[in-house]
Amino acid sequence: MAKLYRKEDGTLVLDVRGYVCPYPVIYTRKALAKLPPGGLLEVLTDNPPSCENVPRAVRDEGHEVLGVEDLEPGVWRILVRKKAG
Amino acid sequence: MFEELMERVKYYKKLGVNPLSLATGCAVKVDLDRVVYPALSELRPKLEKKGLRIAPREDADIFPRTSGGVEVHRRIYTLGPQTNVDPGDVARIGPCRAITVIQVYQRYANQPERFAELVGPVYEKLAEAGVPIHLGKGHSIATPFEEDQFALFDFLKPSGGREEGFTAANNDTMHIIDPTEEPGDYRQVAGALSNTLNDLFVLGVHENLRLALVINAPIEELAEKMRRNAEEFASKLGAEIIEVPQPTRGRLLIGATAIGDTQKHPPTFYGEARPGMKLVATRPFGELAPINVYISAVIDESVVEELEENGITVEELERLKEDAVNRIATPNIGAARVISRYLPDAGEPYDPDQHIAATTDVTGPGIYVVYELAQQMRARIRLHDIPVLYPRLSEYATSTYIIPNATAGTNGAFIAVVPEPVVESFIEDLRAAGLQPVVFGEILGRGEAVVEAPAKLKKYVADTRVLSKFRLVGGGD
Repeated sequence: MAKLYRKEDGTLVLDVRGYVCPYPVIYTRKALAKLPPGGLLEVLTDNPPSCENVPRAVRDEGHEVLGVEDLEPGVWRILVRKKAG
Repeated sequence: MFEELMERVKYYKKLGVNPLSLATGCAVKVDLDRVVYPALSELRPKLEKKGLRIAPREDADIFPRTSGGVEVHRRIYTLGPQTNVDPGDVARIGPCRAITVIQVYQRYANQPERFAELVGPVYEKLAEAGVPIHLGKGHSIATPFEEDQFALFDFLKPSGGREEGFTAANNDTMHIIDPTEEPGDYRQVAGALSNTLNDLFVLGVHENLRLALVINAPIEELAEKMRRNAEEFASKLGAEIIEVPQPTRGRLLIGATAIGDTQKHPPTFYGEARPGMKLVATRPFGELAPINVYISAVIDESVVEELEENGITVEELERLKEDAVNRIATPNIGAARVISRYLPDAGEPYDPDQHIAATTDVTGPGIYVVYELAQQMRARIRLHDIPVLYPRLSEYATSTYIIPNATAGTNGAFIAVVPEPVVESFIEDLRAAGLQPVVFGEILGRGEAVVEAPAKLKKYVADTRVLSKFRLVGGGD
């Protein structure tokens, strides 16, 4: 299964490297459900279409996408802030 | 139902495969427009000087039929600078065509430069054989495992004299159809093999069918089960299995190089688009949506709640998923036979009042294939409807990004561009073959590719790259 862990600063990290569509979107929604309002989620993916689908899916649910950045060649980090209340 | 499924997940895991990380059906392809063709365009001029011709994008390789048929010589190579291509071996085979399957690590599957670095040395070494080879259909798939990369070449050597008609060849290989079922099940194999045959059937090619299987599994017992099911499938269809070596690396692989003959001229009359010609789908499309929603429901219980809020029960979801898998596992040979009736004999002229001008099949890109058709035919097209198999479920799957293009399919429906005078009889013939044809668009005229579509397309497609190719008209419905 996808890896989910918390960093020292409280950010929840969802590592879905090795997963293709539709799994990154599904696991992201599940991970967001575990966060308090305003909490931060970092999604790590190596599936290029997820860099488009994950941000759009979470934005549609009212969450804020703080950025999509290259972590290393072929790996991206999507940073999401969970919507308030 | 979910308990059974979790048992299957455990079984897959014992095989070293996480089924919930496998892409369903054609979703595993490397993007042709953004990766494969830009990468190959760099290589093309250099290779052509040495007689290696990479064909433009095509769904199947079509070439003149010969009396002795086609020999298939399979070779499996490693990618990158250390490739094990033996030019002397290729020269001894002396092929004139090749069908390829390239599996690359998904991290490189979005980078044309990296893709070129991996496949370039393979082609360059092949060119050293000094044999002119037409590299026809090239199939590229992504894998989540770097060690599973390879290049499979089926070298084709037609023999005997020229015969009336054409031969078509294609390879499609995938990881799985339905990750919630056992990988060796008959329907998984039948779906994958039907899918590779689909690119022949869409051309009306359905005679002398032959399959050079691509089958791999982490354990021999499973590979053997898949082979037995492939033999049963071939026997039911009257197809011959050609014995070839297998990749013996990687996890699951199911597919084949399919070869078939026809005495007709395939529907590649792209210059014949005329106003009033109708777009006929052999049935509604969008088989992948229920499979993806079903998997999502297994992983995330909130999906079940949302579905119920949308009036879709778990039982209905299961029924729709079964329907989709059954459709994928059914070869479209009936539609192929009907299409061939509306084609000119090889060597005869095209009749714009009687003959199908062009066809395409609705696979991974879904409705986007209509835009590709408009480009090929240099035509303006108007769609009156978006015929999807499961409208409510597809709408849900799109709105939640479970599948950003719910019109996508595997072993999908055919779309034919049919002259108005024969539309009615074409539809009757399709119905007689057990299909559910629908006229859903028409050719408006020649010119720059434009596709008008009803605004409800947005309900089934969230992928902006696909949507941007359509001029949406009308209200929400």
